[in-house]
Order: sequence, then C-alpha cells, then structure tokens
Amino acid sequence: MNVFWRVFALEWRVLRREPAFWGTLLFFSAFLILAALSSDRFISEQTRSMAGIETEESARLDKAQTTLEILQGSTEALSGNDVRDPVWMGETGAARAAMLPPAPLSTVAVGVRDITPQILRVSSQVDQSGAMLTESGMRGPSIMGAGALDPAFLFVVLFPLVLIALSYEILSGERERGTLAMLVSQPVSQTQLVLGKAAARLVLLLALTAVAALLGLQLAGQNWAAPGLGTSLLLFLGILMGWTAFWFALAIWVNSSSASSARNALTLVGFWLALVVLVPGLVQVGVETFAPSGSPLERLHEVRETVQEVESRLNAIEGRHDVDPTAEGYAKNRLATQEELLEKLSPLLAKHRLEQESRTALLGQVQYLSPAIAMQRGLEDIAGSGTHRYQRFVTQTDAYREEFRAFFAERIRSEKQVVAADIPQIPTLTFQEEDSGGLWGRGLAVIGYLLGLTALFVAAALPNLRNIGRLTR
Amino acid sequence: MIGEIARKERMEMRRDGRIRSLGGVIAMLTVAALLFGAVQTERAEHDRSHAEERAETQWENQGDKNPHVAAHYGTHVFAPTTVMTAMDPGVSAYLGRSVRVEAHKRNLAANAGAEDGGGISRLGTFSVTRIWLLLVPLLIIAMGYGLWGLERERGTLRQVLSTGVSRGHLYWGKWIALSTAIGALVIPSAALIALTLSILGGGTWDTALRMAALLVGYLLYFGIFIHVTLWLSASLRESRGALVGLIGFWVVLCLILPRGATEWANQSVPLPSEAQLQRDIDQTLETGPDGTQEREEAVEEFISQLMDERGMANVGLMVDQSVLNGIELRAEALWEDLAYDTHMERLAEKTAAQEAAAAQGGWLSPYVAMMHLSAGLAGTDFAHHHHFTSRVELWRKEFVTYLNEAFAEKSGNEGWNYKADAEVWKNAPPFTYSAPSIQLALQTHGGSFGALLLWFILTGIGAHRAAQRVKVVVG
Repeated sequence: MNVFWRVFALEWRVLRREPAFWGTLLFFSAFLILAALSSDRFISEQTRSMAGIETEESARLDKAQTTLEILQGSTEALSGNDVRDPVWMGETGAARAAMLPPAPLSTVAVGVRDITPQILRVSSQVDQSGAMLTESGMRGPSIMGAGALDPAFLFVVLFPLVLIALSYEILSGERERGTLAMLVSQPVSQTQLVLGKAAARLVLLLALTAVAALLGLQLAGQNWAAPGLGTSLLLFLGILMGWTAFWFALAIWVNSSSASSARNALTLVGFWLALVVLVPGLVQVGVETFAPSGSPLERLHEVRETVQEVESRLNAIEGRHDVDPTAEGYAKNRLATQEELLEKLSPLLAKHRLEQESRTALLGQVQYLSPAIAMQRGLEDIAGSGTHRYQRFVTQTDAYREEFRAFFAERIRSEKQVVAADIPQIPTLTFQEEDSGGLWGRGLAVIGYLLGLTALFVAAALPNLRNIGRLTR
Repeated sequence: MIGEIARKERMEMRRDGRIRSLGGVIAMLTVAALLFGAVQTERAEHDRSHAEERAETQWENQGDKNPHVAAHYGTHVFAPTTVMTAMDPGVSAYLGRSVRVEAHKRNLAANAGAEDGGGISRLGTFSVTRIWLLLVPLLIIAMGYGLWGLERERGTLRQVLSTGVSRGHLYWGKWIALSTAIGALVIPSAALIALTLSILGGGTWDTALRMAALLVGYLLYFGIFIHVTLWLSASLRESRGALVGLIGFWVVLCLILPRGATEWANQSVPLPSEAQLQRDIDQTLETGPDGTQEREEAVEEFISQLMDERGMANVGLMVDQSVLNGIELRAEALWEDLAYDTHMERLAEKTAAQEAAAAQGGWLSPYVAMMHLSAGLAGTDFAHHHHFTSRVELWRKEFVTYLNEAFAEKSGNEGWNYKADAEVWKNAPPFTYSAPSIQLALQTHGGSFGALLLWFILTGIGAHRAAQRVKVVVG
C-alpha cells in the first residue's frame, strides 16, 4: 500500500506541473458551472410558472368563495359564468392545475421535462385529444431537438472525452518519452505502478469535478436542506464515480497493449463514439423497429370513431348557439353525455397508458446495452426528470382528475348549486414521491453495472499490466 | 508532381487498416441509417395517407346534423412527409403531425413524434445526416492528422523538400489525397441515397435540386474539416498534439456549440407558454388586437359589413332568420380569426426568429450551419412546417365559411333545428397542399450556406499558409 501511495504522490507532482491537465479541467469545470446555471434557468422558469398558477388559483377560489358568501340564500336565476353553477365551476371557475414539482437535485438533468408537460390542467371537462395547456414556455423545434445544455449532457457526452484526454497516454506516453524503462526499474510492482498512476488521476479528477458540480449547484441556488437531497446526492456521486472508473479502466486496458499514444487516443475515441453516439442511436432503431410506439394518428382516429356518436351529441349541445346553458336539464344532459364519452374513452386511454408503461419498462431494460444510456437515465432518475417519476405523476393526475370530476358531478346530479362551504372541499393534488427505496434500487443497479464493467476491463488488462516491462522493448 | 504526391498519400492511407475499418464502418452505418430512414419514412407516409382516408370517411359519415354543429365536430389534416426525411428527419420529430380543424378556433399542430417516444429520441437519432455530420469529420481527422506531422517525425519531409518539391505542391497533393478519399466514401453513398429516394417516390426535379444543393453543402462541410486537419497537422509540433487538438476542435464545433447556440436562441427569443398564448387570445377576443374594442360591438360592425356586401344594408327585419344566423356566425368567425391570427402569426414569427437565432451559431460552428441547411433542404425544418400550417389555416377559414353559408342558405325556417346530410359534407372544399419549392429552403437558410462558404475559404487560406510555413524538423 505504501508503494501505491508513493506512486500516487509522484503522479500528483507530475500532474501539478502539467498545464494541459489543469487547462482541460478548468475548461470542463467552467462548462459544468455554466450547464448547471442553464439547467437551473429552465427549472426556475417552471417553478415560477407553478408559483404563479398557485397564486392565481388561490385568488380565483377566494374570489369565488366571497361571491358565494354574498349570494348565499339568493334565489336569483343562474347567469353565464355563475359561481353557483357546478357545470361552469367544474369546467372553468374552479379548474385546477396538477403540478410535478422539481425534485431536490433537479438541476443535474432536464431529462424529459422539456418534452412532457409538467403542469396538467384538471377540470371536469373530458379532453379527448389529451392536449393540455401548460404554463411552461414553448420551445422551438431546434431547441427541443438539441436537448438542454445541462450537467447530464456534460457528464454523459463530454466528461468521457476529458477522461480520455487525461488517460490516453498513461503508459504509452511514458514509453514514448523514454521514462517507462526508468519506472519499471524501480522496486515497485508493475500493476501497482499503473493502478497508482490511474488512481491518482481518477481521484484528482473526481474530486475536482465533484467540487465544480457542487459549486455549480450552489451558484444555481441549490436548496441544501431539501428533503431527500442526501439520497440523491449520494447516488449522484456514486454514479459519477462509477462512470469515471469505467472510462479509466477502459483507458488502462487500451494502454496495456503496445500501441502508440495516437493510436490509443483514436481507439478510445472510437469506444466513446460507439458507446455514446452509435449504440444509443442503434438502440433507438431497435426499439422503433421491434417495439414501435402506436401511431398517434391511428390513435386519434380510433378515439374519434369510438366516440363519434356521443361526440356528435355533445357537439349538438355545445355547438348550438341558441341553447341556454342555464336552462333546466341542460347541465344533467351535458354531464350524462360527457360521462358516456369518458366511459367509451377509458379503455383506449388505458391501452395507451399501458403502451407507454411497457415502452418505459423496455427502455429500462435496454439501458444496459450502453453505459452511456444507463448513465443518462440514472442521472435523470436522480434529478427526478426521468420517465419513471413522470409516469407516477400522470397516474396520480388521472386519479385526481376522476376525484375532481366526481365532486362536481355529484352536485349536478343532485341539482345542488355550489355554496361557499364547498370551496375548501374541492379536491387538491399534492404529488406523492415514491419512497427512497425505489430510487436507491435503481441508482445502485446503475452504479453496480458501471463498476462491474470497470472490473471487467481491469481484469482484462491485468495480464499485460503484470508485465509492462515488455513495453519498453 | 501534385498527382504523384496525392497517389503516394492515398497509398499510405489505404495501407492503414484502422482507416479502412473506420471508412468501412461509416459506409455501413450510412447504408443502415438510410434503410432505417426509408422504413420510417414509408411508415410515416402510410400513417398519414391512412389517417387522411379515415378523416375523410369520418367527415362524410358523421350523420345528419346542423352545419355549424358539424363545424364544431370538425376534422383533421395531416402534415405531409417528404421522401428526404429518409436522409434527414431534421426537427420533424418535434413538430406536430396533425392539425385539428374546427369552428371558432385555430389549433396548433399536435401529435409530434417525440411526445410519444418516452424520451427515446433523447438517446440520439440515427440518420444519414447525423452520421455524416458527426463521423465523417472524425474520419477526416483520423486520416489527415499526421499528413504533415508524421512525415516530419519520420524525417521524410526534409528528404522530400530537399528534392526540390515545393511546399505548395505538397499541400495540394495532400489536399487532393484527402479529398478523393472522402469523395470515394461520399459520392457512392450520395448515389445510393439518390436511388433510394427515387424508389421512395422522390424522382422529381425539386428533389434532385435539393439533393444537389445538399451535396454542395456537404462537400463544403467536409472541405472545412480537411482544411482544419491540414492546418493543425502543419502547425503543431507533434502529430499526437495535432490529433488531440483536432479532436478538441471537433468536440467544440460538433458537440458544445450546437447546444450553446440553441441555448442562446432560447434565451434571446423566449416563446410564451401555451396557457399564456390562450390567455392572450381570450383577452383579444374580448377587447380586440389593440385592446380598445368590445367583442359585441366589433361583431355588430362585421354583421353590418357583411350585410352591406350582400346588399342587405337597409332591409331591417325583413331578413330571413336563417340568413341572419349565417351572417352572425360568419361575423363571429371573422372576429375570432382576427384574434387568433394576431397571436398565432406572432408566435410563428417568434419561433422563426428563435430558429434563425439558433442558425446564427453557424458562423461559429460549421456543424450548426450544415445541420440547419440540411434540415431546410430536406424540408424537415420549421419553415416548411409553417408553410403547411398557414395553408391549413387558410383552408380552415374557407371550410368553416362553407358550412356557415350552408346553414344560412339551406336552413330556411328550421333555423338551428335544420340538419344537413352527407351531400353537404361531401361538397365541402377539399384540402389540397403543394409543398414549397427549394426556394423557401434557400431563402431561409442562405445565411447558413454563406457561413459554410466563409468557413471553407478562411480555413483553406489558413491551411495553405500553414503549409508554406511548415517546419521541416521536429523541435
């Protein structure tokens, strides 16, 4: 162990005087901080939207309650947009928003937050299209296509290139400079020599990257007292460690052959290209070919054909401009038609949800085809911006929508008007996070996978490492 | 002499097994991506044409109902697919594929492919464009990083120059060797792509022109990387340093700047949220585009105008109620169109400005310039999408007017109880759409083409000057 630390200290002394090492690290750290700030801007925009909606909802409901208190006991007939009208209140006056709040370490990855609505409108109306107006700023197609400039992008795509730049000539460089022969002539185990050199670089790099990441989070206004942050932070550091170890192990394995530094660099870039660019692209091809998502256009028509007759009746209620919405029987008729519509739609919506769930499950399985996919999904999971948490949100919103609809339907059916005391009783949704066990399980699986691959590459390199003296010849 | 030098360089490249393998892998990936793209395009076109047929059937078989109720029922139109999607899907996965057409409302396009993917699109797209934009530059770097440096390190550069060969001749020899090697990969691939596109039904002059323009764009793009590779290979002391520098350059140009450009575009031209857009529209519906008109007054004004147009200005209560209903609906639609057009066109202008801001990144990164130019020429960019949605809106107005007029003309004394039959639905004006010519792409992405040309010229000058000053010995 003593020898290991001596090699470690020697490597540290060498690296301290290496401007390229510090230049690369500073460049990456600066980008990392920039990415954290950029990601935070996106999250903050959503948080502000959510706060704005909460304020607006609360003011709207307070106003409705005050009006209802004034109107208490009034026998005046209902007018349009009347707070006493359960139809109007359910559809518009008391419509709520279901919101998926950012997770404690949300800055790490934007994930699917920018392609899935984080705020869903909940009202008693049946929305056939599934389209919901959201409060998140729209983004042009190029921005959506490019994806966010977030820390996850830097860790998954750029960080390996930094690791390659700092490790591609870990042995071949010594050989080309003529210092390898001198090193192996020392009374030091050859394996310990290489692993010590790699460990020194790995520890330094990890420490500096972690500091840059934490600094980025701090500058992005991270709330360090947020509940659940400890779990997310530990898993984040664990995944980062696994990812770094994997690339160093790969570099050691490549270096254990007798190729030149330039060849090692090209080989490692080739691995990067395969694992970070090609395999994820091919996985997309595989999933789209063998488990394609149902055509949304097909679904659109399936829905339309299923509900055509009911929809026509609903159109006849809503599309006739001569019908008085406050007339007797209108509300019940409309409710009955909407309920019928919902009943017909439910199996189709359930089928669609099931399709989405099985696709997410499939992606969870194929993520192990490339450590880059596992890393990306692991970071998204930790940041609460992955498909797993989003599906939880959609499921909870579906249940909430049903509860909300039932609240007003009951009043329409019993011909009761909305009264002031009803307002605080209107159902609300607070997103329920899963218990930390699930996140630990998925996070540890990714860490285990990365460390397993690390062990494989180190084991493959060991026979050559035990005899690096041959490289000097 | 230049030819001899080029031959010698090509022979060395051929001898290098890694380059042969990398070239082979890229060629295979290009073919695989093209096949995948062709299958996806066929599938999208099948979905679209099938959806179109079903929408027509649903519309015609909706049963007897009041024409205005039918306008509420509405229909859907579907975005066209171009055969060039097989090569470059551009940003089509993030653009809606269908537009719901109904009375009172102009809808945004919906059902974008990425919405349904469960985040799969974020794994990275697999297309010919992506492979060419990302991998061919790496192949150029792998083939060319040592063209000057390795010769210097081996000492052969000194020997060659001592025979009286000029640096200029050496430069052009190396340039031709690298360019023909890339050409050997690109030209057959381009021919294969052209063949595939013509099989997919793209055998038109417009597609041929688009392909030709794309080829010019790609040749400029690859030329830029050839120049930069020769430049750094000549300028840096060691070939190892040139390789690391070139990979770093590629990372900045192809990975960092594209995201940086879109991030900058998002910050500089933010778009409203969908909810905000709807609130703005609702507000305009109540108070008009300038905030000073009352809805009811404005609708009354439109009613007067429409009655004037029909020579009914002074007929007072003598007007048939059904005609009046039709005129009222028409007037309401005019007012609603005014509100929707104001905000939807503003949104489209902002989105186009955001896209243009992202494309400005092309002056810093040829990757960004080529990416935008390629999507534009493939017809898979926002400009082509907007061309389609604005035609849909023109048709929506015509379609709703037809139904409201059918109501006015045929309802007689029945008023809202009048029900039209399938004959009325069948005679509704059909939606026909002609995709824009290549001119739209050239107008929208002229800047990107200019950026590529400028990069090509400047890097060419840099590479040539570096060759003139290349050091003969290491150190």
